[in-house]
Amino acid sequence: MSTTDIARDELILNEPSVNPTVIRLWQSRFASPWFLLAVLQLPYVALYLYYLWASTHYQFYPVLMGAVGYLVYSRWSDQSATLAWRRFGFVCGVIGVTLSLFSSVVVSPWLAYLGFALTIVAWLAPATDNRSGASLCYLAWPLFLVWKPPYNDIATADTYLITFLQKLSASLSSPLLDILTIPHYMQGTIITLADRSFGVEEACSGVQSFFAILCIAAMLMVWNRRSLIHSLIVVVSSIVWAIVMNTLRITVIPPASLWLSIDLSHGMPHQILGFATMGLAFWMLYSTDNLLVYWFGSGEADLDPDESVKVARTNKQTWSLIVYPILLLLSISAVVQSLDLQKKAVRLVGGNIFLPLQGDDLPSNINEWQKVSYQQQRRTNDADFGEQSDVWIFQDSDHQATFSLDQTFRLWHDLTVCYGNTGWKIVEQNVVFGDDDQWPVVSAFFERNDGRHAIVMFCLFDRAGQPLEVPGYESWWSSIGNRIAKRFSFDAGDLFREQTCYQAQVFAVIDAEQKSARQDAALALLEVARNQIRNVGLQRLRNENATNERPQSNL
Amino acid sequence: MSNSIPSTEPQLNNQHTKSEFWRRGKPALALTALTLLLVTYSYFFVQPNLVSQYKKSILHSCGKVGITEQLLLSKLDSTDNKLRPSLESKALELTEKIALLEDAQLRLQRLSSEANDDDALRYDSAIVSISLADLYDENIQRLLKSGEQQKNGSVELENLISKSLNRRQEAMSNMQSIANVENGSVASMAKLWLMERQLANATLSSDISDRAIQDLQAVLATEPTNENARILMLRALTLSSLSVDGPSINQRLKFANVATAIANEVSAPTIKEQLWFAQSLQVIDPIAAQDLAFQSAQPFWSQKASVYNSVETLEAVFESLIINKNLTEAQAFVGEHLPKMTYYEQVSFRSQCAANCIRQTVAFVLNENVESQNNEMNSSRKPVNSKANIEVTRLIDLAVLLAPESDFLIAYFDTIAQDESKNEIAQRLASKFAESDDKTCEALLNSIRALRQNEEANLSHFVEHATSEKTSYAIVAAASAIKLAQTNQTTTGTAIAFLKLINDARPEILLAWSNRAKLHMLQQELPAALECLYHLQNALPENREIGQQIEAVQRQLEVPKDQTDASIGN
Repeated sequence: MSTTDIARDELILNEPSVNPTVIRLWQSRFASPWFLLAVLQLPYVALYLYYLWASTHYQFYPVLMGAVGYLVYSRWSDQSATLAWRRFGFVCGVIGVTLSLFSSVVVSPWLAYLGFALTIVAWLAPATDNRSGASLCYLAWPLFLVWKPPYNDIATADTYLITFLQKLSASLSSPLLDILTIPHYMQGTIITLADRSFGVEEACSGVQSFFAILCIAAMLMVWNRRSLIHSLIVVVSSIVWAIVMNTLRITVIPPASLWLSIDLSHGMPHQILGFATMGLAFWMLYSTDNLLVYWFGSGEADLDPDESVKVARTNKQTWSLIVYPILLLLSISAVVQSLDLQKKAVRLVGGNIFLPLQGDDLPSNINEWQKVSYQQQRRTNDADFGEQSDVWIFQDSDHQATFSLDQTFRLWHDLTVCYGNTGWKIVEQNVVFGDDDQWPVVSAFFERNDGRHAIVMFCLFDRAGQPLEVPGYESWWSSIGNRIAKRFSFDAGDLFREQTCYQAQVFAVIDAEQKSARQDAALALLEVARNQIRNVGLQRLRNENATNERPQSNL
Repeated sequence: MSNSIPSTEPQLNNQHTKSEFWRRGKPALALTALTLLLVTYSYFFVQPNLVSQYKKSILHSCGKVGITEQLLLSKLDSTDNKLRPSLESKALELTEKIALLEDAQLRLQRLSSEANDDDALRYDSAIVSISLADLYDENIQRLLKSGEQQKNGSVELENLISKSLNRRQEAMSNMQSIANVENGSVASMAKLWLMERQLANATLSSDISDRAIQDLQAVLATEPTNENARILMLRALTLSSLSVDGPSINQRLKFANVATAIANEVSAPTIKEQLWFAQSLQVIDPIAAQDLAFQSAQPFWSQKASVYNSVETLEAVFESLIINKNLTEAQAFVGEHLPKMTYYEQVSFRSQCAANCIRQTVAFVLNENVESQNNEMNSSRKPVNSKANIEVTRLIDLAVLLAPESDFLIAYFDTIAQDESKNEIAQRLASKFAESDDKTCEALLNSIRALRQNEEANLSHFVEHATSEKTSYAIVAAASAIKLAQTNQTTTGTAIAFLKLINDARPEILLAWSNRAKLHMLQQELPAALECLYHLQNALPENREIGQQIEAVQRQLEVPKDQTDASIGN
C-alpha cells in the first residue's frame, strides 16, 4: 500500500459524520446527469406549476408529486436496468433536454414541464425496482397527468375534456330523471325544472372527480406494480366511474330539491355530496382493481395461481393509499376555499385585479341602445363566465342586448364554449374588426332547439388595456417567430407572466333574418361600452392599488 | 450489487385468497350491472312512452287551468275527452294553476327540443307562456292588494314581474319567429295570434295582416278545400276589416265579401266562426249579420237553463247578443254568469266582452262612414244617426263597466285618439275613463293626446285629477307626462307645466321632480333642472346618482363647487 493510499484511507476515516451507505445512495440516485439536468429545469417547472394551481382540476398535483417522490425513494435499487430501458431513457432525456432548451428560447413553461417529465424518465429508466427488478421509469408516468395536453390554439385539451364531461354527465342524468318521473328540460348542461334550474358546474367533473380519480387510478397501479394491460383497464374504468359518479351526483340534486326540499346544489351540502360521490368512485376503482386481480391475477411474478394468492399490499396499506390522498385533497380544498388562497396567490403578483365598476359607468344611451338595468354577478373563481360579471341590459326599438364585462381570465377565453354549455349551438363564427380602433372581435351566431337565434360578440383586453389577439388567426411559425423576437426584446418579461385579462361581450337574441343588421348594432354597442368600461375600470383600479400601496411604503 | 437500503415499504407477506378479491370486486360488478340495467330500461321502456306521457300531462294541466285544446295546435291528445276543460272543474288556487302551467310549459319545451323545431309545439309553448304571464300578473295584483310584499320584501314581487316579462317576451319571440320564417298553417296561426294581440292593443300593423292574408290566399290557391285555412282566412279577414288603422273602406268591403264566400263554404262552422263571419258581414250587411248572429246563438239559447261548459262559449253568446244589439240582455247575461266563475276566468271573460263592445263600436263608426260615403256619392247628406250614437255610448259604458282595469282599452283608445276622424269617440271614451276612478290619470294623458291641438285649455282639467289625493294617480300622471314628452317634442312644455303643478300640489311625489328635471335638461333649462335635482337630493341624500347629475349640470353652468355644497346644505 503506497503512502498516498494510506493517506486517502485516513482521510476517509477522519470523516465520521458521512455514512458510506449514504454516499453510495447519493451517488447512485442523484449523481446522474439526467437528474442534474432535471434540476436545472426547475425554475420553468415551478412557473408552470404556479400557474397550474389556478386550474382547480389540477390542484391535486402536490399530492401526486409527493407520492411519486416517495415511491422513487423507497423503490430505488442500484441494480442497472436492461440495455433497452437505458436506451429508451437516453432517447427520452435527449428529447426532454431539447424541449427544455427550446422552451427557454420561446419562454414556454408548458413545454418546459414536458421536457422535465421526459428528463425524469431518462433519470429513472436505468434504475430498477428493488422488488420486481423492472425499470423504475414507470414511476414517471403519473407526472404526465399534470401536463396539460394540447388541443388547439385557443385552449388545452383539459378545457374541452371538462366541457365534454359536463355535457355527457348532464345528458346521462336526463334519462335517470325520466325514470324517476321528474319532468325536466335539459338546455346544454343546465337542468331546468318547472320552477328552478341547476347548472352543471365544472367542479362536477373537475378536481373532485375525473382528474382526481384518474390520478388515484394511476397511483394505485403504480403502487401495486400492476401490469400494463391491467393498468390501462383500470385507468379506462376510472374514466367510466368518474362519469357514472358525476351522473349520480347531478341526478340526486333535482329529486332532493323537489321531494325533500333540500338544496344540494350549493354550499356545504354540495361539497359533501361531491366528496361522497368521489369516495364512491374511489371505492369502485379499488373494487375494479380487485376484480381484475381475481380474473387475471395481480401481474406480479410471485402471484400464486392457486387459491392462495400473494398480493402486494395488506388491506390497511391499500386503503391508506386511497384514504390519505383523499384526506389530503379534502384538506387542501378546504384550506383553499376558506382562505381563498387561489385569489390571493394571483393578487400577490399585482394587488387587486378586479375592475371596480358601477352601474352608471355606462351612459343611459349608446347609439340606439337605451340602458335598462345593471347588476353585478359573483361566481366561483373557476366559473365558465368568470368570477365576476358586471352586466348592463340595453334595449333598442325591438331587441334587448346584454353587455357584460367578465373578469378575470388568464390568456384567451373561448366564450363560445360557455354558451355551448347552456344549450346554444354555434352556427357561424368569424372575426370582425371595429371601425375606429381595429380591435379583433369574435362574432358568433347561435341557434337553439326552441328556434331562437342569438349573436355573441366578444373580445379581451389585458391590464394595460391592450387588446388580445384572437388565437387561431396567426400561423404556427409566425407565432413562434413572434415569441422569439419578443424574448430578445425589452418586453421579454411579459412572456413570463400569464396576463390577467378582462372579457367584454355583447349577447342578444335576434331574428334570424336580421343577422347582418344586428351584428352591426351589437358591434357598435360593444365598441363604445368596452372603451368606456376599459378606461374607467382600469383607471379606478390603478387609483385603488396606488392608494393601498402608499401606506405600506411609508411603513 | 446488493441493495443495502432498508425497505420502507410495509410487509408483503399477507396472503389473500381469491375469494377475498372476488368479495372486494363484487361492488364494481354490481354497479356496472345496475348501470347497464338502467340504461336498457330507459332506452326500451321509458323513452318510447315519454312523448305521449308528456303530451297527456300537458293537456291535463292546460285543461285544468282553462286553456282549451283548440288553442293548442300540436294535437296533443284530442281523443281523450275526459281531459276537456270545463268551468265545473274544481276551482284551483292561483298557485296551483301556476304550478300546473309551469309544468306544462317545461314539458312543451322538452318536447319541442326533442322534436327539433316543431312549430306547433313552439306555438303551444307561446300560448302557455302568455297564460302563465297572465297568472303571474294576477299574483302580482294579489300581492299588491294584500300587502304581502311588505312582509316578504320586494324580492318576490320583482321575481314575479321578471318572470312575467320573460314569459311574454318568450311568447312574442316564438310567435314572431314562427310567423316570419315558416309557411303553412302554424305560421298563419302565429300571424293571426300576433294580429289579435295587436288589435287588442289597437296597433294592428297592416303589414302583418296583409302578409297573413296573402299567405292564406296562397294556401287556399293550392288547397282550396283546406277547411282549416278557410277558417283562418275568415278570422284574418275579420280582424283585418275591423282594425282601426287597417285597410280602406273599399278593401274592407272586399274582405267582407271574401269572408262571406268562405263562410258559406265552411261545412260545419262553429259558433265562433259564424260570429267572425257575422262581424265581417256587418260591414256590408248589418241586418244579415244580426240574423246570422241570432242563428248562431240559437243552439245556445236553447240550453240556457243548463250550465255552459266554457268561457269561450259564454263569450260567443255575449257577442251574438251584442251583434243583435241586445245590450240590456247582454249586460244581464254577464251579471248572471260572472259570479259562477273563478277570478281568473272573470278577468278573461270581462276583457273579452269589453273587447267585443269596442269592436262593435268601431263597426258602428265604420257603418256610419260607409253610409256617409254612399250619401256623398248620392249627393244627399243625412244627419248623423242619433240612434247609432246612443248605441255607441251604451257600448262604451258597457266596455268600461266590464273592464275598467283592462290596459288594452286604454291602448285601443290611444289609437282611436290619434285619428282625428274618430275624435268624437275618443272624447267620449276619455270622459268615460275620467269618470272611472281607476283610470283617471291614464285617461287624462289620453285627453292630452286626443286634444293636443288645444293642450293649454285642457291642462287645468287633467291636473285637477292628477293632483288628486290618491298618490297612485299622481305617480301615474307624473310617469305619463314624460311619455308624452317623448312622444312629441312640441308637448315637452306642456308636460313640464303639468309636472310643475304636481310638484306644487304634491311635493312628495319624487318621480314628478325627477321627470321634470329630465325634461328641463332636455330643454337646456339648466337652472330649473338644478332646482329639481336639489329637491331630490334633499329628499334622497344617499343617492349618488343625483349628486353626479348635479355635478354634471353644474359643470355645464360653470357654477363653483363651494356654492353647490352650500346650496345642498341648505
